[in-house]
Amino acid sequence: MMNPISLIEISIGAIFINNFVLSRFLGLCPFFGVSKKVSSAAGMGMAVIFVMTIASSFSWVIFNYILHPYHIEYLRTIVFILVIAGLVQLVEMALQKYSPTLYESLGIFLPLITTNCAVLGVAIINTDLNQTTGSPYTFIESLLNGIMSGVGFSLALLLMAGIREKTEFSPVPKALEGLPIAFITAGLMALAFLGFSGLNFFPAVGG
Amino acid sequence: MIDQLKMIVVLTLISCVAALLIAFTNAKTKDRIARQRVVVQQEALLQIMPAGVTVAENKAPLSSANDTLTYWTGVAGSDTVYAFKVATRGYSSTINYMICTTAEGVITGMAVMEQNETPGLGARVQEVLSKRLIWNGLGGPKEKTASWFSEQFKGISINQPIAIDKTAGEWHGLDEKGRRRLKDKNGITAITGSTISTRAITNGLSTRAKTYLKAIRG
Amino acid sequence: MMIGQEIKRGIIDENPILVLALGLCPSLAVSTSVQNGFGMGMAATFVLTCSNVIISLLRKVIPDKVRIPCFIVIIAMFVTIVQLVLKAYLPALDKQLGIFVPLIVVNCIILGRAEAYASRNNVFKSLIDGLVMGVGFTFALCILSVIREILGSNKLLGFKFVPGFQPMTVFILAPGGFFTIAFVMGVVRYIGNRKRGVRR
Repeated sequence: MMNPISLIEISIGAIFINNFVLSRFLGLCPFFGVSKKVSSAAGMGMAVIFVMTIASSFSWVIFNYILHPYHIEYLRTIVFILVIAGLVQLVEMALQKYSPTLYESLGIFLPLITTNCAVLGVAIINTDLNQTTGSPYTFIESLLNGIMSGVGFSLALLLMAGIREKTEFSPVPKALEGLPIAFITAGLMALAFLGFSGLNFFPAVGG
Repeated sequence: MIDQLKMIVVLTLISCVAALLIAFTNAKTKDRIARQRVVVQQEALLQIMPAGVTVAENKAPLSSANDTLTYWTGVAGSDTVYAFKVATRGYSSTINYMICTTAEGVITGMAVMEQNETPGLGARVQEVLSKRLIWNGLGGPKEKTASWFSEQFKGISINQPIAIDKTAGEWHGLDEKGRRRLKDKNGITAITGSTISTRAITNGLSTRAKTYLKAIRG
Repeated sequence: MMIGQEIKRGIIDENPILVLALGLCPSLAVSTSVQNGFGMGMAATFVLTCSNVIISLLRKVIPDKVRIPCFIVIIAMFVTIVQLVLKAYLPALDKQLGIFVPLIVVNCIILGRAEAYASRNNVFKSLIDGLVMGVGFTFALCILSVIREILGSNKLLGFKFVPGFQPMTVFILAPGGFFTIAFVMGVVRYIGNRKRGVRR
């Protein structure tokens, strides 16, 4: 269960190989919406890691102790999205009360996160089979998957923001200004990340 | 106070109605969803078994733990073929496929039933190539649905090592001579850019499938 | 007359993907083949239309403070229904769309229309708005997926497209999705700029 190799594999997989933004296409709206400045990208990244960690652990518990035992897996989508929306609200209120400084830096991003498909995405992925071991995710694995997917998202977001800050003043054809050039940038980044897909530390063995 | 109560009541009511409606849909579709799995299995069996055999379902004990293996026999005259499911881990998913072999382990047919590999790469293990162009293909008669990747396994022996040819190009592009040369060395062609998915299947054949066949043959 | 204008608004002027840049995740992820793109478009259109109608019906009942959770529950309900129906009747499509079927819930188009339109307008108008926006979404998805399927696998609707053309697999993979949408969006903007007389 606590196989360290599988934990490493999950981390590398979530950050590089199956990067949420650049290879799974999850969380694109905040990726393009909040990547104009590095400082706001950092704030968004932190908020996403935070919420993803909490959401993946809560949803794992709910799925494995409530939905699965009572055979109501078909309520998964509706339950998860409500749990995430509720959690985001709670986190927002708690931050506001206990850590105003953190709230100031993360606060405006939190409401955006409810409709960030990366968060719901990680919760749903965690209920499927773990593709590296072929059995359901354990709690530790799904928690780690949540954190590392968030890290992968933030990494892509930060890289993107860095590039966009530089290209902001470049002479781009009028029609490509703004979003289209950002898409091309993301495409080039995805091309680079495609290189990771050859990474296979622990080759698939049929036996 | 009234406002807050109203909030709670409305949200609860909406959630309850939603849950009821979903439960209703679930009850209506449950059987069909369960049947879809069987349909996929039936289609795969039809594809891999030689024509004109009588098919029967059987179970065989597996040596590991107290697992049993479900397999299908196809009898035609004095010959019997055996079909069973194999699952191996591919690149981003578990690839479920079914093979049919003779008693000597020569494959008569293979069909991939379920996979979730990368579109455009590994997912092409299920790719069906249409010979027709779009202009004259629409509305025409139905084409066969076997994928080129699984077709090349016909005649491959699972008891010998299976060679993966990465240089010959893909099987559907080979001529008769090229295909015969492959067959001579018990080999198949890889899908361009996704040897991991290809190798997952051949590995499964030379490990799991071999064990399964042994268990069936007793 | 009015409906014609509405359709033009949904497909061209306020196209959810190509102009407003909403709902990007599914549009890039499932546009690898026309069947997938069209299927996703139809599923989203169904959810969008139904949720618009229901939300518009209930707009006077739902208290302002809990409106977002209420909207989400209603949308999630329709998404789950779509998911179950797809699993039962179109299992191949469901398999291909995978995680992006449940993720229709967080498609910004749907919640966006609920918040900006359905919660303020009557049932009939919301119904039309849902249909029009859904058609626009489907239309954009189809454009993207036609380009990607032809370039990436030299196919259209599963049939061979040009004999002898070596497809560029990268267009099926993630980078190709970004390049395609950049190109299509650029063209849309170029035409828009030309119309408005901006030169460059």
